[in-house]
Amino acid sequence: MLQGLVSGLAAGGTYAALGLLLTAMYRLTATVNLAVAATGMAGVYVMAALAETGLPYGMAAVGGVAAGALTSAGCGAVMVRWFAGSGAQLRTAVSIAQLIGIIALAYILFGDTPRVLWNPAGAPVGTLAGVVVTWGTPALIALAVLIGGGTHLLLARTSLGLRLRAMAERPVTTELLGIGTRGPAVALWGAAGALAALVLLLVAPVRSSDILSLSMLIVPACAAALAGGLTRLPGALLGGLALGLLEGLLAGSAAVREYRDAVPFAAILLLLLWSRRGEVWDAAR
Amino acid sequence: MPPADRAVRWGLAVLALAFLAYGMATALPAYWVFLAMSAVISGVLLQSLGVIAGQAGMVSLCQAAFAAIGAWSTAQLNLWGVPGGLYVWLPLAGLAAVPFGLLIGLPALRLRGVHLAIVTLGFAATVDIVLAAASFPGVDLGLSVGRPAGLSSERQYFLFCVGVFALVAVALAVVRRTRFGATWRALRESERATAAAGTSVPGAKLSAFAVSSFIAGLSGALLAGQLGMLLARNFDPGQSLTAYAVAVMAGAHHAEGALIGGALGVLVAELLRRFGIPQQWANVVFAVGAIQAFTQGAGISDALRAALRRRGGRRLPVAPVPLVDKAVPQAATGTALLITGLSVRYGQVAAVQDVGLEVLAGSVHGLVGPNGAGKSSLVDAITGFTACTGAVELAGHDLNGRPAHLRARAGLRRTFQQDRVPTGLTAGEYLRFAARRPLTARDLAEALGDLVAVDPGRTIADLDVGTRRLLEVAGALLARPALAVLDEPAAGLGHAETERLGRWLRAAPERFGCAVLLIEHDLDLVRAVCSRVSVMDFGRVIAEGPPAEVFADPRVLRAYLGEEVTA
Amino acid sequence: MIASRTLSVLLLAALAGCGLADTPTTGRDAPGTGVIRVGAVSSLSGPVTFPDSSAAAKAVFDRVNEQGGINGQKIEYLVADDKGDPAAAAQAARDLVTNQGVVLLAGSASLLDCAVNAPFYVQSAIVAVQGTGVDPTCFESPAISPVNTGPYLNMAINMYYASEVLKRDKVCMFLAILGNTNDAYGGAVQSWSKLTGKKLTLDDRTVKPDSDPTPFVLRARSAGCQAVLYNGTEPMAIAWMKVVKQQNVTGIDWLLTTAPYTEAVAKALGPDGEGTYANAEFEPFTDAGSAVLKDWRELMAAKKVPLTSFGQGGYLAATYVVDTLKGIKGAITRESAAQAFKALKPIENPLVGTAYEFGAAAKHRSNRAGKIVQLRGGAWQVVTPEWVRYPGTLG
Repeated sequence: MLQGLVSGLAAGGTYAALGLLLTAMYRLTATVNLAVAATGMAGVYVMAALAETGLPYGMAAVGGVAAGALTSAGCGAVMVRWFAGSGAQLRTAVSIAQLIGIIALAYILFGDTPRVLWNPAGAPVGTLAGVVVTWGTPALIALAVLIGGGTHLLLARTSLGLRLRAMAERPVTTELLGIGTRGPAVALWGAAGALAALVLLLVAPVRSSDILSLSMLIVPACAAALAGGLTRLPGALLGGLALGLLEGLLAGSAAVREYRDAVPFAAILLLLLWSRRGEVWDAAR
Repeated sequence: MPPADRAVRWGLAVLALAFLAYGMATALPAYWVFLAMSAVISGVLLQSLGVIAGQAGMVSLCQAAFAAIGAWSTAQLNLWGVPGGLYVWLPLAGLAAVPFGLLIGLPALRLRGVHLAIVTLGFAATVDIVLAAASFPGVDLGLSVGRPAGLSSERQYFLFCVGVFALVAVALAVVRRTRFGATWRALRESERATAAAGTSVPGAKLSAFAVSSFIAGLSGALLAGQLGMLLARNFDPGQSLTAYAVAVMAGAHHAEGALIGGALGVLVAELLRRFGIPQQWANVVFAVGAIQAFTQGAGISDALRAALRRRGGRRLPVAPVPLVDKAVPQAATGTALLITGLSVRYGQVAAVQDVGLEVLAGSVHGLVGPNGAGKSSLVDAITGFTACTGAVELAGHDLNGRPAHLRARAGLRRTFQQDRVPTGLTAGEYLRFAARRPLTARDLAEALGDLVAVDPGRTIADLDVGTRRLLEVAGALLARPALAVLDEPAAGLGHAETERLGRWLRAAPERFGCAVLLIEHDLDLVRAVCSRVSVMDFGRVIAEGPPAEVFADPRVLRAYLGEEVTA
Repeated sequence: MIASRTLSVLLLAALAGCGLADTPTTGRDAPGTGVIRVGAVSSLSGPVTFPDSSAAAKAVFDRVNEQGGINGQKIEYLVADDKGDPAAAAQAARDLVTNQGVVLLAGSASLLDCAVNAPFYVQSAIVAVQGTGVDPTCFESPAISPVNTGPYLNMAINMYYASEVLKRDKVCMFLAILGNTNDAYGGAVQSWSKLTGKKLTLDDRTVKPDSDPTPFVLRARSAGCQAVLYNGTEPMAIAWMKVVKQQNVTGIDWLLTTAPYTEAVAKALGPDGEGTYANAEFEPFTDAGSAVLKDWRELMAAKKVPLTSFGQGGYLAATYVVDTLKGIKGAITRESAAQAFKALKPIENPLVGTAYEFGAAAKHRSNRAGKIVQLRGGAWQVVTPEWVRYPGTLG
């Protein structure tokens, strides 16, 4: 039981970090960026390609993070150029198209050969309940907390955060007020891509690292973000961790093991329905 | 174009298409028949997306999962050897997908937009996991889905698929013309406006999901018949995502768009294969195409229709029809609306406090007050869009606790300050949708006469905001409610339009047999139209009576009109 | 208006019933043109690709053409990509068979070609010599006979090797079930149990391709497994063995199937995979000293095809096809080719442990042997110079 929980910690950190990225992007850019894990995946594959040319890991990783940032900034540029005034639903729909495109391009560029992925955080920290915990786990959780904390500070303390929030919530008004947000918005997308690449660089060496599996990490990430209602950062953090722990726990239970991937989804759905029971109308007035 | 003419044209078009399909089935090489079959089957799947995403505007990323359920049912029926073959299995497979559609529709009652997109994606992933763990029935035994007599050859099966596609297309086209079909497109724009027109929003959402999942289930069953053997991969979440992109790109809410989308899927793959280009480029094409369609706000089918319309020449503007006085539908006496002790609180803030109001039947009653006086909260409370305490009676019937759409059906209609007229409908469709009763062209002309000049065939998206506002007012009154609550109908109208609205409103109680509660900032309009006026300030009614008296009341002058008017 | 449209639809439906029997699907066999068309449906793009099998088959056909072809006729080899998508696989097979008029299929390597197209091949009376058969249908169709062992027999051989050769008492199995593979693996377990009278200590079939392997690896340890069999593909196997290393689990033999027996896996795992076993379906391609691989190695090097197990499959399939077609007297058509394979006498080849068969059987599973290889010092080494032939039968 305890062993299952501990073994789910790393997954929990992953989901939490990606879920927080989703939440932060939703608040700052009014987009549920379904392509966020795919941009991270692009970073991982570029890192692997660079490492294969003989570049040391550190430099290759920097290149990978930059590639993730560039991919995401490209998506952001499309969003800012053509969909600045669109609602969240349309922007999310656009990110679906971007997800499909990124996956397809990644297959064309990189193929399906497994990559040599060195694990930067593979050294053990200690043993907990018989499970060896590597540096990857605390690193992922720390990254998640960092993303959450950073977003909170950006939103609450800086004028840039205020401007971005205004842009996300009332794009037309903000534009009319003459507040330039295009540059910072694209930069924000880039930063999200870089962070996603960082998360996936930690995750990919210990999970199935093929293009589709990495891109589809978006599904549990969405579940984590939904636990926070897409807006509350602590909710996403706890939701992601809980999801990972639940997954680890269920892997050990014979009764639900078969369909354990469906259980978190059902749990999130119920949670959402309960938390939104009072909301009836689509617009405030 | 007169209806009979249209029918002939439609009939000829369908006949021509039928012969085309028959010609394709007999003349094309076997391989191309197979390709065309694949295109038509994905066309059916795209039609299901056309309903849910194209018409109702809900992002559904699990259509392939619905298709999987249809295919699974077909394989199971095949395994059991249920008599009737695909002819019977096909509708059963569609029906089998419906409960799942409703299951996803239930959260959609509360979740919308991005939340719904995520939930449907999760559902697609979950179905994929379950399917991958448990294979399709009969696959382990090497039993492929059999085709009944009459469908055994590829060519016959192709025509069968075309027939199913055509049936779905015709059924959807027929539904589109009904009020029920308009509901879905209204839902896309605004749930509040849909409820205000007396339509149940949960009902509309669930019906959209039910119909969409039924059609998706059909496509799954057709695929089962086409391939014989099925894999979970046929229906993985990637297929749902790609289908969504293609539906957007092609504009699958029109039948020809769905067909174009299906053909694109097959043709792009075929072309890439011929030129030896990796198949993955197809998805890049669809991704770019979908983004392009999003920037235009229209898919290929919309662009085609627009081009055809342009070629057909612009419609002539219609001159306002002079008002024809008709007999009063029903003599109205007594009280239309009686409010007692009504309060609305948002947390600690009391927006409306202990308000009482009576609107007499057959009268136009004004409600004025400064911004933030609580007028709109009062309207929301009366019409059931906001929780409140106190009593609301409509023509002697207690409305307390009833949801918004039932109040609307009981005869309490409203319009909105914001522009909430569904842009996807034509003016005529909108008026029929709002009226909830059959209307002849003459009814429409008479109702619009003297108010606004608009061709009922025009799409609302092409109309200016002032025209939309007047259409909304006309729609609310065409429903012949006991009371129509008009929330600032003159906002944004020009002077001439406002005068026309005033004349029209004065005649409205007699023509439509209803009372009107008019919330308005334009005091000239209120003076000209209303027999009585209530004034609100800080959530309370501070004065009531005939306009001349009320506007002379010093409390009103002080509270509402301010110093400058007094001076 | 509605009525008229409905009428047209009904008319359409009525027309559908008559005069539309399929023309027999004979291809564009043009005798005298001197070209024999051979096809393959392979996964060349998409999530999992096997390009080497058809590339190796093409190398064989090219060499035959250079040496004058089959009785003077050149072979034209057409490879279609199914991109791991069932619809594309169906489309590809129809194109090859009905449009291009191939006489048979050879060297296909795909995750789903058999499952999707087996009924169509039977219906078209065409034979397929699969280079790499993965899904169970490949081993259960009268029209298809793969040259490889397949994951199920592979698993049975691994179980047999773990319990009978390595003499491990507690044998555990972890499976990722993809598609309709559950019963096929179940059959392998049953067959092994019947053969040895033993039972698996742990039979966990709930691994998902993208799940974190940690809980499963820990489960294996806490259950006290001595040998663990796992059917993960390349990326899955890499993730699995990395977790084993990370969790510092020792004292367990890890036996993988053929899929991860690649240079890429050896490279990606490096020292983390030390001691891992895999099962080679053919004479292990990493064994540079093997004399029987000489011709294959030289041909692959000449035609610049990577040295992989899939390449061996394609090479073997093409070789069997060339030998069989050479024996046909008269015109080489789909009918005569099918007839030749239905009447085929078992073909011995040093690259495999058991003779290749086709014949008129309802299902084919002729390759029933494997050689066990082990990762040592970052490279695969052969541990069983002799074939491990599975004495039991599946299904």
